[in-house]
Amino acid sequence: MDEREDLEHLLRQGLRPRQTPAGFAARVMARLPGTSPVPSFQKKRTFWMPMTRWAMATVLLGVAGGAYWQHEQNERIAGERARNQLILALRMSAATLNDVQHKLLKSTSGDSE
Amino acid sequence: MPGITGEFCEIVEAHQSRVYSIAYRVLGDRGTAEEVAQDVFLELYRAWDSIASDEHLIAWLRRVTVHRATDALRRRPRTLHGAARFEDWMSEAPREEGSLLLASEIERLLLALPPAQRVVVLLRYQEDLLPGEIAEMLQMPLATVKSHLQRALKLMRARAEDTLKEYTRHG
Repeated sequence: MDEREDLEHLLRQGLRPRQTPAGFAARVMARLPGTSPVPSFQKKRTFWMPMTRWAMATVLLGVAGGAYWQHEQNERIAGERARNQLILALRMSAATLNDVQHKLLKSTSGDSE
Repeated sequence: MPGITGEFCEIVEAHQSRVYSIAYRVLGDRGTAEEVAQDVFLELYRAWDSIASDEHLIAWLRRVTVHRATDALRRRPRTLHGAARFEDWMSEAPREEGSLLLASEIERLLLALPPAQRVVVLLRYQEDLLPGEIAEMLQMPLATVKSHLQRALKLMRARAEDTLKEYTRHG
């Protein structure tokens, strides 16, 4: 090995990668967008978060319950209206039939006289 | 973009030593080297979609680290360009331990070189790149790379001999 090769060998040995300071990767990760430490206002928000969630759920359930009750009412009213219309139609049919029957009876009694 | 807690963390852990070593050996100071190395990884995170392969990733890290470290060196007061912070390299290694003594001495010799020669030596002997690859990476004529290497080795050898003389005189 000549002088130059000797120095090159020493350089390769001496320039092996260094160890990074402890916690380097964690510090890089902490600086990535979306992983920054949570600011204090966000901490406050997370404290109130469960209560807000429950309140929203209650309101949503109330709205959903109200909508269901309204739907049931509408169904009941529509059902009653249909029933009334049916009764009316039956009454009208009955009246018409009576009328027809009455006319028939009258005509047959006229024929026999 | 890589998953924040998974893939990217593994990439940082796998390449942190290479990136930090380049930054430290160009700058010669641990604080700025860590800042530069962190910035390089943040830049990598933003540029992740453009990375095509492992080889591309390594080449990207080398190139960007050298450029960011050289930029940081330019922003620094001129007196610190050559032999960087003496106390930094002195505190790095216990001088009685053979391999660490060698590493420390080599780094001292490296940091005493002009910045352009320092970068070329670093890429040649730490990163094991051929002169042609260094020329391509630094967009420098091949003859310039070879000349930087020759001059750097000559300077380092001369300084190493001076140091050896001092050791033998005081030892």
